[in-house]
Amino acid sequence: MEQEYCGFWGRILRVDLTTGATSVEKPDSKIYRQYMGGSSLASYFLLHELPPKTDPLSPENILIFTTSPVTGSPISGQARHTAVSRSPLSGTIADSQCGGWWGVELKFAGWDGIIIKGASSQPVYLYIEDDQVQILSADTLWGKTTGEVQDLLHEAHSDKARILQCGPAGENLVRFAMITSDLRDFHGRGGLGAVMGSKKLRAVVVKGSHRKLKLADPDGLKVVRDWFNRGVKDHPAISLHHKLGTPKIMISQSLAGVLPTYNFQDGSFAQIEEISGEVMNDKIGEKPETCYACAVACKRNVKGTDGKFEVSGKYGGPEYETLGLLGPNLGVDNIVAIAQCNEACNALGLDTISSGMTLSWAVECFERGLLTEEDTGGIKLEWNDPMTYLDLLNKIARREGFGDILAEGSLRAAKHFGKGMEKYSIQVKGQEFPAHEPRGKWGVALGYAASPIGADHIQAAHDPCFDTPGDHSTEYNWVDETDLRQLGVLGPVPSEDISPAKVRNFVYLQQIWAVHHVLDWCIFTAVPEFRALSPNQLTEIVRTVTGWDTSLFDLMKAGERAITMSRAFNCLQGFTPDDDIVPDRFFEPMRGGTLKGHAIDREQFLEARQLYYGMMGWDEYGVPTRAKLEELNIGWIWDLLQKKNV
Amino acid sequence: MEIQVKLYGSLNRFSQPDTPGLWQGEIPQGSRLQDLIAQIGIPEKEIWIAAINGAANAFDAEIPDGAKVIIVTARGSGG
Repeated sequence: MEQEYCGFWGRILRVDLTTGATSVEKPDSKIYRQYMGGSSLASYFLLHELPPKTDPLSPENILIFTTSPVTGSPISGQARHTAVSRSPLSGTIADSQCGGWWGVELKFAGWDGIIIKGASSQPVYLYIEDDQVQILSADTLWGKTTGEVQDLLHEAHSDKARILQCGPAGENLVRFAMITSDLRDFHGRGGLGAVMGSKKLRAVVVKGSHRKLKLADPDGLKVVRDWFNRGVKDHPAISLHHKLGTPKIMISQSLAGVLPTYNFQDGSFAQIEEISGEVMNDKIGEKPETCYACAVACKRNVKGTDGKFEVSGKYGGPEYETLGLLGPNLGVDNIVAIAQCNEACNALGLDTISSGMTLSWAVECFERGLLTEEDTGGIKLEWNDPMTYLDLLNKIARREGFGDILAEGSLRAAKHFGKGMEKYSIQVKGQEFPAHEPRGKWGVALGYAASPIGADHIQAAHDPCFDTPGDHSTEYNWVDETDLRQLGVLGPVPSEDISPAKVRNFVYLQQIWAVHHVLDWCIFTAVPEFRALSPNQLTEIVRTVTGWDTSLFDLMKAGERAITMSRAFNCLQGFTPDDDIVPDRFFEPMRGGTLKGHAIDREQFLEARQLYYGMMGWDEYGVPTRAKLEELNIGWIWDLLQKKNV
Repeated sequence: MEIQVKLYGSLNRFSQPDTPGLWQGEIPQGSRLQDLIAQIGIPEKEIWIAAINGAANAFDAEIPDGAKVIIVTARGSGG
């Protein structure tokens, strides 16, 4: 098959699981040029085809997987793909990027994406080998762990096939069920695994034979690759990221007072040195793994036992977010126990972030006497009790007893029990917080509140990236040598600040982060502290791969377009500014840790939120204005908003 | 006075040869964090946080005898 365009195929696979029909859609190349890929291309289809307020777990919901024109090009960071749907956890758009190999394999099979509608009456999986697309029975897979299913599918097809699947949690419609890619990479957030489960779709298996994608300027791409290789050589932050991965920040987060501890009551953990990234490496660390074609190779890999807890090595190792939320956030000071809880989540198909946060909500409520053993089915809840957590993770995934209520997520569980327990559910729009305490990073608080998917830490660079005193326009230290100057982010702005300067930085950074989500780039090749690839160099990748005459301005607009489309989607579901807020806890003084007594100023925060809407071209209710929509060339969304009287 | 310094992240390279991640030694009475940092030879701009006995401190904080100091560079920056 001849690849018509440079970087992409111009082919999307459509699957209707109700009828069993499959078809090929060939969107106009102008659609790709404007929406590019990833979350933006997926949102384009979702906004056009999903009626507002569709039940996320009904057959009418749509699940879309997309790649971008640069996915699969031979340079670090181009290995990700996107999944988009309406979230059963938050009711917002679910928009999640996943690394590894699956998205690249989909490109190698000749597809830019898959749009899945309907629901099968019986368990099925999708098998894609180039143009051959089959919907096959998953009767023998249903109910099994992700590891068992991975082995069975490899046996049935090829051990070179790449497998995306939900786990038992997804089958059982756990609202924070994830989708795993080859057991080690994840669409963690938003309950996308439950969307698969509701469609009785256990897995999407892909094998492709077109392993060299057509590039517009292969020699030009080699030049960019040389920049990258020079950038990563002896780069202290990148070599540290290879060695320790995201867990490298465990110690610093705790010392800075921004490590969630005991359900976000404290920000520092006394036993932090027992569970650092360094300790994990020493006790159970194995050689790090990599995504496709990546020189950074930061994926954790763990195996071993301490006599009481054990990890098999089959499911990869915990990242920082997982360590934080299944660790200090639950008071757990045993690194092997945390790694085993991570493995349990990965085998069962649970998001580790929402799992840790839902458990910590329950423990705090129990400690306060709001939940009792009568509520929990006789289970006594305490901090630092990983055995009980392992039992509960299983019960959540299987929807057994108390686990059936926790499977709804912390906010719904709190509403179920009442007695004011909502106060201890640490979430925005129903999606639980990631492992960053916003009272020490006020821009992150805005990110959590404004994020289109509910609380999310990958909306923008965090405040410490531009809080170092000094004239950032001329003088950078190596950590702050961020190339954010290319975006006009000249700082510094203190971390505990939500002034107009902070909001402006957040707006620019959210847009460049959204560029990563549109192009399915990994932020770990370009996140400011690494600076291996600057925004201008990223632009060169798009130019050399696609041949598009694009610019950083054009890409930033693509990022802004993606954010605005997600916002419009949420407006259509009925979300309002009242939903763009962090829980009361964060406007109250911290109980303990380095930042004991610190709190976010509520008035300043609310003012910043309005300023953010204004800077984004949204009205005072957070609804994108017609002018902004037209400026972004998505005026058709205005008609959708008008029809629904938003 | 004798103190112990744990060096995390890329500051590992300032460790003493036989004790990775660790610097142990004598510093003058009344030394402040900035004096210690200079004695070890770490460029201040590479440091995000320095802590004395588990509590983060400004660089001009005085170091007590027998203190356990932690110096880190990696910051939670949005990945």
